[in-house]
Amino acid sequence: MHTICRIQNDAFDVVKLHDALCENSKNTGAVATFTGLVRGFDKSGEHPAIDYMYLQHYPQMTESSLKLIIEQVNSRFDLLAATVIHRIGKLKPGDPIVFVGIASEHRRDGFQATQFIMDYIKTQAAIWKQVSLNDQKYWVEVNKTDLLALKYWQ
Amino acid sequence: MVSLVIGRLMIKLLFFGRLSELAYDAPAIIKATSINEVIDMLKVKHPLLAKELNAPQVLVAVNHKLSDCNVVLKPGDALTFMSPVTGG
Repeated sequence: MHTICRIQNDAFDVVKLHDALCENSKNTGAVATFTGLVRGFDKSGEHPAIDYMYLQHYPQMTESSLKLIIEQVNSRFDLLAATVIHRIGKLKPGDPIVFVGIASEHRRDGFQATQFIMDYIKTQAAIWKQVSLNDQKYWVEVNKTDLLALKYWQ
Repeated sequence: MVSLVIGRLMIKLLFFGRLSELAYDAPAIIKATSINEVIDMLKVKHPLLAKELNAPQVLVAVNHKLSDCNVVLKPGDALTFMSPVTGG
């Protein structure tokens, strides 16, 4: 399987990433993608907008944890290519955080593999979010629904 | 040169997520052979951090690989404490 896995500060071009997956193999019959964005409101919903989000990562483990997730997804589904890009650093509301794209022969593998990768990134990748709102900062807590989503695959 | 030698005999400490904020003035290196010993030493000047490190959801890595809490630490090891991850 052809794989691209990157951690970066810079924005990514969703169209280019999508097109590269489409052109990767003549056997490709489906490309499924997911793009995660910085939500503009805080967890309580009381405030109309957060100021920014800071994504911290553990450089010596982040990429290896993403590669491990890609290895796992490749062993479970019939895939032709996978692209996982995760941003770090200071991002503002509306900015893309993460891109997951899968090329496969059939749509079901693409849908499921994309969801699998996101469920694992949420709970296994060495990345942490801190929200800044009205001059205050708080670390994002683990979402129980993310933990439940992971159990679906186990 | 002396500090380099001392550094090799010590455990390097790293903290991520919420723990990194609590550990802003914690030592970067420490002399210890177990994780419990590290936490006990931190209790003296960093009681809040030490309490958080004992939480069951805290992840531990030794030399950048996930590890269990009973690992024997060797001089020069990097010991990392991580809050539960929240990427994606």
